[in-house]
Formats: sequence, structure tokens, C-alpha cells
Amino acid sequence: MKNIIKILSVGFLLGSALNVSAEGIEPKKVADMIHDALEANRIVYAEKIVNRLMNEEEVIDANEHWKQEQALLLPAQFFREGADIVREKSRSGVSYSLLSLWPVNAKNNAKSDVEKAGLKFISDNPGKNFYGDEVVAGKRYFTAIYPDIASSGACVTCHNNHKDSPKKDFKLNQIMGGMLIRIPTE
Amino acid sequence: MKILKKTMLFTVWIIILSALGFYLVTTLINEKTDKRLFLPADTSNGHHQIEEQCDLCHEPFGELKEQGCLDCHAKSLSKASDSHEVKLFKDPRNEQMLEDMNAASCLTCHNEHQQDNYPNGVTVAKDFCVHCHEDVAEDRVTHKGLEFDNCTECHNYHDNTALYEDFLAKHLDEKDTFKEGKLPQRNFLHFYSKKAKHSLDALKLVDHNAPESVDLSLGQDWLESSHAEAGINCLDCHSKKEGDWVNKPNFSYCESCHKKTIQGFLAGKHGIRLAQELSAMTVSQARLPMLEGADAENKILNCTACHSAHKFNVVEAAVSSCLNCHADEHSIAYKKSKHFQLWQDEQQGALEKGAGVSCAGCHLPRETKGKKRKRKSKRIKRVNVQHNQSHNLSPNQKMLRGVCMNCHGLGFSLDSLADKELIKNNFSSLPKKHLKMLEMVKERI
Repeated sequence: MKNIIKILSVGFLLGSALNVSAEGIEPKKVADMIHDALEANRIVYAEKIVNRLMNEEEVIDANEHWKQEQALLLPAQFFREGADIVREKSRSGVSYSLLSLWPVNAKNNAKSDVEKAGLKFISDNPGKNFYGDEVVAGKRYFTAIYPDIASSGACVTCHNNHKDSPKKDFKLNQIMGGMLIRIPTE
Repeated sequence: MKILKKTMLFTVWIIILSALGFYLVTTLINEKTDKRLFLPADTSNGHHQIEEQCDLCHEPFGELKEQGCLDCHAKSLSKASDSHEVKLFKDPRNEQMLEDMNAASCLTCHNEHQQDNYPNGVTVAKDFCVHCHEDVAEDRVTHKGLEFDNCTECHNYHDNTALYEDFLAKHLDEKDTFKEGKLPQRNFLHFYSKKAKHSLDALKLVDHNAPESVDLSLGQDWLESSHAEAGINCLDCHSKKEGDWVNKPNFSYCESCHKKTIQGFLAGKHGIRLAQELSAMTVSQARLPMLEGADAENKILNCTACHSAHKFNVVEAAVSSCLNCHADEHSIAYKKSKHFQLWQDEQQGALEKGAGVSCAGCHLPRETKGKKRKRKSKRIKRVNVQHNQSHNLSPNQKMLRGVCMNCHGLGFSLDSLADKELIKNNFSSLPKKHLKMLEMVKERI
């Protein structure tokens, strides 16, 4: 009996240390992990693919109309294509997207109250993430929003020069928007 | 006696009913039987060719299966710049948009066996865009006051390859016709030669490798073909394995060298039945007006229907093969058109290759791959002939980039494709229709 209690106690302590609840890992931790992986992939695509092939090796352009122009996807489009596949194939119901208070495409502006509050929070509190709960289309979600920083001159130039951009004075390392990760909690 | 007569009649009645029931049930459940008996009404153009196979679109007991649409159309939608990809609507952020109109399902707009409002079985109301784009004029002042039942004049729901603002802006104020306009030249042999495992030296009649029993009366046709010129011998087309000989090889024999061509052919209206493992289409199955006469009506649509066997003459295939069957207004008007005049001039050597306009030049467009290389490259760009002749037909703006704009400016091309009378007379006059798309773009940039 003592052994059983010992085993259960060790399990409980380990679970607590890893934030593993009865339902699994807590949503905030999951969102952070997904964010780490997404962010790493974004950096690889932007630097090792787009910047290298377009600017350094001058092999191929990246273009907003990549399909029609036989070009590489812009980094944000690469991110969205991945998000589309996750939504299509994943059974978990997790989804992610790039949003902004100053989007080139109006459909990428904040829609829900949580999205609006989250984008405002990360914009007012540089370096901090936003976490919240919300109901979207009748389903409950844990929503995390991480700052999306203008990491290269190309991001700034493209957004500032785009005719549909509502903000034309972005600067390097400034927040351009947020990476939203939505995890179903029911 | 009366009772016996009644019993006999009843028995005969039961036998007839049972036989009829058996026939109907076996027809319905047998995968490969013709099920047109059960059609509730006409199918749409194109689908009419495969209407005998209900199970391509329906579950066994009639329910529609969306996967049936995707089995045939997903690939071309994915290749096109589909503005309304289903995956967009799977985002919880966009789910609410589906409440008024479920844009995530093909069947919301495309319905069979019904009167359609647009081509391709589209039965949805003409102002369907309003459900999601009601506030379009807020972002686009140029759209203020426009009616929602006319959006498709300038926009396509799926394929907008040539109808996006940056592209339009790049091609403002172009001349109606470019003096140096011509189609890219086919270069299949260049790429074939890189992987060919045989000599590409031209063959003579004595080099043929057909079995002795084969009649060689068609040898001269082969000798004059590009096949003999590139070292392609009899067995290369008539045999798939050693010792094998097929007198009339089907498309699968051509596929070993012309894979992409066959893929295109099977995806188009000429090859759709073969793609579904049905017998090849015959001309009499076409809904478009065709030449009357046994030759045309009984023609079977396989590779040699257009590329006569052994000759494989591409000049013949580009015009004569089409006009030997097609007899609609547009086809009949071709020989009186400027396009045909140019084609004749090209064939007579008065114009350089590609400057003439044949039926194939527009309906089997030449697709150039790898054209957007940033550095100037000496690499030859692959030019494929798209053999899905239905691919760029509907909506016809799909012709803009790959066809019209080889020789004409964007504005002129847009107006021409929008003018139905001009299409009927095969572009023998100037467009009378004018789309204001380019003016609207000018206003915005």
C-alpha cells in the first residue's frame, strides 16, 4: 500500500512539474510549444529559402501572386499555407493564423473581442504574449497571441509600399501583428 | 376455368414484375452497367458523357458524394489560383461566413439535373457574392453602386489567374495587337532526347522492326513522321513488352513517352470517358454541333482521332482534325478569320513559326514552364502542349495569359473574350463590348 502511495505521489509531482493535468498538457504549454515550432519554421523559410534564393543567389523571386508568377511564396503566405493544411488534416481542431491591426488584406484583421484585445495587448506590451479563452462559432477555445516582429528590411519595405497597407511607417523590429494559435478546449 | 385464367394471369404478372425488379436492381448495383434509365433530368455539358455511371457522383442509393467532384476536379482547382479554396472556410474565424452560404461545399453552387444560371452546372443565384462581399465598396470605391448580379463579368469564383489587380496594373495601356506576337515553340524532342535510351538518328524503311506478318503499306506515313525522324521504331509504339504486338495501340501505349499529354487528354472532354474506364467518346455523343455524316459521327476520340496514325502530323492535327468534326458557328467561321489567314501565311513560310493561329493554338495552349528565373539563363524552357482542350474554356478569361496575350494586349483580349458575337464569328471583327476593369485599376493605383 505504501508503495502504491509512493508511486502515485511521484506521478503527481512529475505531472505537476510538467504541467500535465488529467486532460493532458495544459493549453498554454501546448500553444507555446506550437509557437516555438512555427517560429523556427518561419525563420528557416525566410532566411534559408527566400532570402538566399531571391536576394543572395538571385535564382527566383518571391511574389504575392506566387502561383501565377511561378515564384516563391512570401514568408507570410508560406505560414498560411501550412495553417491551411493543419486545419484540413488535423483532427485536433487546432488552428493558427497571422493577424494584424494593420493588415494588407482586411480579412486578416482582428474579428473576435479576444483577437482585438490580444493584438492590442502585444502591441502595448512589447515582448509579452497574450492568452485568453473564447467561444468561436459555438466552440470553446484557448487562444494565444504572440508578437509578430518585422525581422528583416523586406517585411518593412513590402508592407510600407503595399497599396492596401493601412500603415506605411513600419520600422525594423517593430510589431507588425500577431501569431494566433487557437486550441479547442472542449 | 375463370379461376385458372385469373391464376395464370396473376402468375404472369408476378413473373413480369419480378423480372423487371431484378433488371432494375441488377442495373443499379452493378458498377459497370449503363444507368441512364434512372436519370431524373439532363446532366450538364461534360458530365453528360459519364452520366451512365451514377456512382461517380452518387452513393449507391442516390445520395450525392462530394468526393466525386474532387476526384475529377481537385487537381485542376489546386493548380489554378483558386480564390475560394475550401480550406479557407475551415478556419474557425471564417465559419460564420458559411451560415448564409456554405462555400465549403461544391454542391452549394453546382447542382446536376437542374436548369443552371451559369455554365458548369452552377445553379446558385446570380448575386451570390453579396453573402460575403456586401461591404466591398468600403474597400473599393470603384465598386460603389455596382450590382451584385454582374460580378462574374470581371471576377471568377475559382480561377483568377489573369484577373488580379497587380496583373491588370502591369498590363495597362497595351497595344491591341503586338507586331512580334507569336506562340512559344514546342520543344518536346529537346527534353525527350535527354532521357531517350535509344539512338535519335532518323530511321529508313529498311530499319523497321515490325514482325514479318505486319502489313507495311503504312510504312511511308511513318517514314515521313517526326517519330521516324527521331529514331522511334514500330515496336516502340505497338508493343509494351518483348514478343508483344498490338495492331491498334490505345492511349496507354503513347503514354510511355507522352505522359503529360495523355494526362491532359484524359482530363478534357475528349478523354473523360477513357479516364473513367468507359468506352472512348464518339463524335455522336457531343452536344456541340458536329459535321453530319458517318465519318464524323462514328469517329472514336482517342489519340489517333486527331493525330492520324503513323503520320502524326501536328499541322493537320492543329486545324483539319478539329474541323473534320466541329461544325458550330465559331468553328465554321474560322476559315474566314484573320487568325486563319495568319495560319496559312505561316504554313506557306511567309510568317515565322508560331505567328499563325490554329484551332489548337488557342484550345490546346502551349504552357511554358520555368519562365520566371531571375538570372538570365541559357536553359531551354520546357513548352508543353496542354491536351485538355476544355481546360481554358470556361470561364474563357482562363485563355488570357496562356493564349490571347501572346499576341494581343490585355484590354483588347478582355473585351474580345467578353463579346459573345465576336466569339461566334471567330474574332473576325473588332470587339464591341468594353469591360471597365482596367479603368478601375487605373483609378486605384
